[in-house]
Amino acid sequence: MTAPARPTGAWDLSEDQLAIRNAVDAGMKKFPLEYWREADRTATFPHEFFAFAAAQGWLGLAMPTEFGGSGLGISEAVMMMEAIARGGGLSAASAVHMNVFGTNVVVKHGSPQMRQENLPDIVAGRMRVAFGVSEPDSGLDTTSLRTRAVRRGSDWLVSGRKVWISTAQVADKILLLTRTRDPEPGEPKDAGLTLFFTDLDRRHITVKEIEKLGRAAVDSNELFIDDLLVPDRDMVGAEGRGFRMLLDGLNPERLLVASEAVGIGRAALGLAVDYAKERHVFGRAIGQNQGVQFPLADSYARLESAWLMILRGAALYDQGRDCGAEANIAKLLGGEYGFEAADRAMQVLGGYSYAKEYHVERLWREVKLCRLAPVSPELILCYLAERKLGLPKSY
Amino acid sequence: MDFDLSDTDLAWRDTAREWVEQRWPKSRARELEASGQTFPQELWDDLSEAGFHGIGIPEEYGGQGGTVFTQAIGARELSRNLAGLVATWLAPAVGGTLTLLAAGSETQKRTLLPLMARGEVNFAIGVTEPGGGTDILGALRTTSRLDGDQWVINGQKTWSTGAGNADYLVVLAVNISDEGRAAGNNLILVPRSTRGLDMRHIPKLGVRALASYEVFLDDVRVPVDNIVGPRGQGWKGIVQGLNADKVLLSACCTGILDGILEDALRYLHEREAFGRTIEHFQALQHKVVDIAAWRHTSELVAYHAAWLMTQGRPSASAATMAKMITSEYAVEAADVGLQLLGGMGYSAETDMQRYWRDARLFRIAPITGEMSRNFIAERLGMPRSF
Repeated sequence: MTAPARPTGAWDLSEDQLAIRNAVDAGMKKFPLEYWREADRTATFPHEFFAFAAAQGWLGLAMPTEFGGSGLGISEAVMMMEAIARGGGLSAASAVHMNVFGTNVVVKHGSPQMRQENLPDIVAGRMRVAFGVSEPDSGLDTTSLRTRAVRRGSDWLVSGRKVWISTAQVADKILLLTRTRDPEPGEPKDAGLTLFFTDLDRRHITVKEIEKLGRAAVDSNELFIDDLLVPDRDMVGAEGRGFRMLLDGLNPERLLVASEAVGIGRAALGLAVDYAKERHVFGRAIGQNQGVQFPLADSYARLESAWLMILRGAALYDQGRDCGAEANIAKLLGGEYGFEAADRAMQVLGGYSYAKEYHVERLWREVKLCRLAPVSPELILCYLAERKLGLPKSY
Repeated sequence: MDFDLSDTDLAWRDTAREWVEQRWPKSRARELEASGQTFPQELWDDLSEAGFHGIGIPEEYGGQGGTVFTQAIGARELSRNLAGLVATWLAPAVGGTLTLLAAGSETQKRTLLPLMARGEVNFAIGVTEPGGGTDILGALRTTSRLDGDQWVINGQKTWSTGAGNADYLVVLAVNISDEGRAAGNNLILVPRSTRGLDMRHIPKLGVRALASYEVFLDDVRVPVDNIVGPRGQGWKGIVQGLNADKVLLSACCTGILDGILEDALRYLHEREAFGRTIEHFQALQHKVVDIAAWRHTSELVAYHAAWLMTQGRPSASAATMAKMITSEYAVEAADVGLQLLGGMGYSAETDMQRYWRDARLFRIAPITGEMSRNFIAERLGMPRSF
C-alpha cells in the first residue's frame, strides 16, 4: 500500500519537534511512574530528574544560544513539556517548568549584566527561580496586589505577602512583582507595578509550604516578605512597567500548561487502555464493552483536538503573531479534556484506580491543577466572550 | 404522599447534627486525614460513647433499635463533616451488624451484637478478591473446607477496609464439600489474631485515616461455629447488607453535598475580587444553584430508597440508582466546588479537596456507575451487555 500524497500545508511536525519528542520519551524511561509515585508520597523534590533534564539540555531548550540554550521556540517547548508530563505527570513538568520559560521576561527585558550573570546558570540547572506574583487577595486581579517596594537610598525595601509560589523551598532567586507607586489619575491600574529579579533571601523572606491536594513533590508556598533589601540593579526593565512585561509571557505559559495537561491526559488514557485490554471480567476483556471503550475513544479525540490548538498557538507565537485566543482556548481545552481523560481512566480501573500503586489517582489529582492555574476556565470564557464575541465585560 | 420526617427522625437528625458539629467539626476531620493514622481510634471511641454503634441493633441485643432509614439520617449528618470517614461507623454496621442480623445464629447475635452496640468489637468485611470487583462470585477463589471441628481457609482478599483494627474479618469463601467439590460459599468470622492471617496496607486516594488492606489467608483455622448462616449459603448473609450499603452511601453523598454547598456559599460570600464579593457573579451563582439542585435530588432519591427498604418493598433498583445518581452528583459538586474556591480549593487546608477525593470512591465502590447501569439496563428488559 502506498502512502497517500500529503496535501501541501499539511500540519506535519518539524524534524526538531519529532527529535525532541523522541529524545524526551527516551529520557523519561529512566524515571518511571514508580519514581514519581515515591516523590509524591515523600513530598521530595525530584533532584535526580532535574539534574538529568539540565544535562540533557532540556532546561535551555527555549533559551538563546548565547546563554547556553538551544534557541528553539514554544513550538518545540510544548513538544518537550507534553512528553515530560506524559512520562511523569505534573510532578515532572512542574519541576522544570519555571526554568524552561519562566525567566523569559529576564531574557527580553533584563539588563545585559543580569542576563549574563544568571541565564547560563538557569540553563545549566545551577539556579532555580520562583515566580512571585500571586497574593492572597489577588489571584487574577493582579493589579490589586499589595506588596510594596519603598525607596531606601539607591535600593528598595520590599514588604508584603505572596501565595502559591512554586519551588520557593528550593529556589535561589525570585521574580518579584511589587508596587513602587500608586497609579497617577488617568493611568491604568497596573502603572506603578515593578518587577525585580533578586535573591530569595531567607533572612527576610519566610517561606511556608502549603500542603495541597496534589503535586507534593514540587512545593507551593506562602511567602512573608519583611524588609527585603533589593538593589536597584535587580529591577527588570523600567520602573512601574513590570506588569506589561509579564503579559508577554502569559500566552506561552498557557500553551505550556495546556501541553502538560494533554500529556497527563494521554498518560492516564494509556494506563486505562492497557488495563482495559488486560483485565478480564465476565469472560472477556473489559475493553470489549462499549461502555468502557467509547469514553476512552472520545477522550483520545478530545485530546487530539486540544493538541492541535496548542500547536497552532505555538506556531503563531513563534512567528511573532497574536496568539491570545489560541493560547487561551488551548489551555481551556487541554485542562478540561486532560482532566476528563484522567477521570475516565479512574473509572476504567475501578477500585484499583483508588489505590496509589496504579498511578492514575496521582495523575487525576495533578491534572486538576491545570484546570485551576494559571487562569481558570471561567476567566478564559470571559476573555473569549469579550474579545472574540464582542460581549460586554461581565466582571 | 408524605415527604415529612417523623418527629422522632427530626429529633435524631438534630441530635446527630449537633454531635458532629461539636465533636467532629470539619477541621478535626481534616487533621485526622492528614495525621497518617491507619485507624481513627478517637472517632471510633467518640462514636461508641455517643451510642452510634448500637443504631440498627434491636434492643433485645443491646442496641437502640432503628432502621436503615434511621442510619441514613445519621449517615447524612455525619458525612457533612466527616465525608468518607463516616465509614468508621458504617462499614462494621453493614458488614458486621447487618450480616449477623440477617444470617447469624442466636448465639452469635447474643454474644457479639451487645459488644458491637458498645463499640467493644469491630468488624471488617473480606469479600472482594484481587481478580473481581463487581463479579464477586465469579472471581471467588478463596476456599474453606471443614477439618474436624475447624474451618481451614486459604486465599486472598482485597479492599478490606478497617481490617487492620477489626476484631473479626467477615470472610466469604468457596465452600469445599466433604467430597472435595466446590458447593456454594460460606461466610465465616475470622478473628484478626488467627495464625496464618496476614495483611498489607493499600495506600489510597481518600479516606486515608481508615486504611484498607489486602488480606492473605494461609491455612487459617477457626472453630466450626464461626460460620454465619447455613453452610454453602454464605452469600445470603451479605446480600441484604449490599443493598443497605448502597442506600447508606446515597445518604453519605447527600451529606457530602450538604458540606460542599455550605462551604461554597461561605467562600463566595467572603472572597473579594474585581472590587466585590464573588457571589455577585452570575456564572458562579449558577454553579452554586446546580449544587443545591443536585443536593435536593440526592436527598429525595436517598431517602426514598431507604424508605422502600424499611417498608420491606423491592428496593434493589432504587438503591442502585440512588447510589449512582448521588455519587455522580457529589463528585461533580465537589469538582465545581474546587473550581469555585480556585487555589484555596487545591490547598489541603480547606475541605473541598477532601470531599472531592472521598466522594470519588463512591462512583467506584461498592459497584461502579457503569456496572450500576448494566444492572438497571437488564431490569428495564434489555439484553445483558457484558
